[in-house]
Amino acid sequence: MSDHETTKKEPKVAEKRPALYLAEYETPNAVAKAAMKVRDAGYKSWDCHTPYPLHGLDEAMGLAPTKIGVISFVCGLMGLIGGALLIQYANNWDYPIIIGGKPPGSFPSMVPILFECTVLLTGFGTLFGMLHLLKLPMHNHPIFESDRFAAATDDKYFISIEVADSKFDLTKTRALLESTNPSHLELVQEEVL
Amino acid sequence: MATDSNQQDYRLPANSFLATTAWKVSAALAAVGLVGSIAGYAADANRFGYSYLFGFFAVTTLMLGAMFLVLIQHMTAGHWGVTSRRIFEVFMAGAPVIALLALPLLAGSMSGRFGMYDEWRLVNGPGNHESSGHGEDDHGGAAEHSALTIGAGVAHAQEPEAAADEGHGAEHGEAHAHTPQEQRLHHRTLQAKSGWLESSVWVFRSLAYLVAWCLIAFLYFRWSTRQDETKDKMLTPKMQNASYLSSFVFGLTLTFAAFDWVMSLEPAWYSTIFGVIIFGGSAIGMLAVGCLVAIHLHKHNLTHGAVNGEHINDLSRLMFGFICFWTYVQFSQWMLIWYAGIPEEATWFHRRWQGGFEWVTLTLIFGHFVAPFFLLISRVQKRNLGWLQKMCLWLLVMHVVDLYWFVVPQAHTPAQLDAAVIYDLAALLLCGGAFFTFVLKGFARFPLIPVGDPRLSRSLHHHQTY
Repeated sequence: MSDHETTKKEPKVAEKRPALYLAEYETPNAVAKAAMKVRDAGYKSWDCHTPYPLHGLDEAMGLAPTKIGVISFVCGLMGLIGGALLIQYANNWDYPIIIGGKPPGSFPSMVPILFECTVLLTGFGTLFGMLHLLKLPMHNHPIFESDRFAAATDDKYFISIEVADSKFDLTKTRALLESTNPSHLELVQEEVL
Repeated sequence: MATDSNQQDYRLPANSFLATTAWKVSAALAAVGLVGSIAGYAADANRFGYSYLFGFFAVTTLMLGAMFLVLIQHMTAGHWGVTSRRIFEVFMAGAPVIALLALPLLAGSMSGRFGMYDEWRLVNGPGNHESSGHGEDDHGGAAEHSALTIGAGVAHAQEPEAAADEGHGAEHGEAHAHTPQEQRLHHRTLQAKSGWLESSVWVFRSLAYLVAWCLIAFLYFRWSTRQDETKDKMLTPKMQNASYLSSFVFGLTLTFAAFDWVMSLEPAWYSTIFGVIIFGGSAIGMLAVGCLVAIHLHKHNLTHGAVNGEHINDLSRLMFGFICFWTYVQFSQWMLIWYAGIPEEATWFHRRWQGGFEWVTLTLIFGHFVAPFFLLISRVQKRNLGWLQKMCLWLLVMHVVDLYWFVVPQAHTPAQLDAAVIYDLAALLLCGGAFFTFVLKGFARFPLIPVGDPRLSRSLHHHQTY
């Protein structure tokens, strides 16, 4: 720890609690088979970590289709309706004004702006919806406590099951993961702040 | 599956619907169309010119859409479209049929029996004016239609006897050009364009487009089918390198063919984005046909899964993108003209908002954009092959309506939906039937996927996670 210790922080011996199980596999096939087992056991708060996208892993994990399309569509529709209301209010109701000899609030002149509003809000919906679904920004995750996890960007395949999962049990979850024959299995702990 | 690709020949089974019945159905439709077309030509040769142009150009856009998809896939060198590429190659290889089908159009308009391009030819001087002499066989003939299509000022200046012959001809001409200023402007525009639109130059350009398309289609089809046999990997970079120049040629010929054949029906009117709109519609039409063929192959397991839901999903998304693109360019063109509100420019859209064509326009807005947009936007809708099949059929019909909207409102001044729509359909059946007969024979003759392409294995395992 830092060399200028302050007087306030007394419990310097970090107290730790279990955060997740991390199982390591050597091959993509092994991790996909293990993922099917974890999926069938009914876990929800778990994930796979692979150095590159594995085709078919989504199905093996039983991931539901993403909701980002629905979020984008609803946001786009809001942009469309909101833009229409704004133009009609400003240009037709509050301060009717004739531009280019066209009647106030005429529909064709609205279309480019409606298009822009739809695109803008769809973009916002997609970006922020994605960040929300991915739980980003996330500054740290207990999985980084594991020294072995760095290999997830190199040549190893991992499955992590988090304590947050309602089915998580220190012994049962360990037994499940051991039954998938991982090359290494560890209980990753996080510091209690 | 990758290893299978060398053992299976991916040919159409001799007893399948596509190999035995489909082309006969198509040929029968062409025969019906031919009978109807002859009747239409005998009834009113001038009006039938528009029918034939509509039928011919609708089919031409399908071939051009196929050519675009082949070229763009070689250019981008993606692996997703390798297995479905052969579908488009076979449609592209129908280019010689297009060239043949163009001959009646060129001959008809050069001989003066089709009067649709006469407005600028008359302006160009008496050299091309003998067309009225050919008009004896049909009632009124060239004299009548030149008076119909010509601006009043032009008509009186160049051909007083023709305008005087037909009482209604003069009033149509007046409806075309409202004020003396407009007539002068009208005339000046035509004069400025007359060199470009002069008959012999026009027909030379038309032939050049057809030769360019036949050449591109021939080269790409031969390279690809030769690769089937030789498995020569070097043909792939060869096709890719050639695709850059070919796509330039393709883009320019498509644009100018649209200008020369369709836009010049209203010679005093011009729009630089015209060719782009035709291009967008072509891509939709061909992607709809391609999806229908791919769904048929998939449902009857004719490619053993080589063309499957993943590839069809890609095609349908591309089609959805082009629906938005088509709408974007169509609307842009319309809005600029609407905003300016200049009679010379608005006349083209005015024709499409009168005499029943307002319903065709509305059909396009809702049937070509609004409904397909919401009915194809979701991944679930595009993944449902039964649903996609119906949407593709619908979009193909809409593509035909789109070209009808481009061509046929020019037939009368003021524009009027008429009973000759039956001959429009006959011409469409004739051209479409002839084209599809040739194409369907092609499906039976060649492997259904490019079996020699080095990217085939990756394409077979193509998988979409999104």
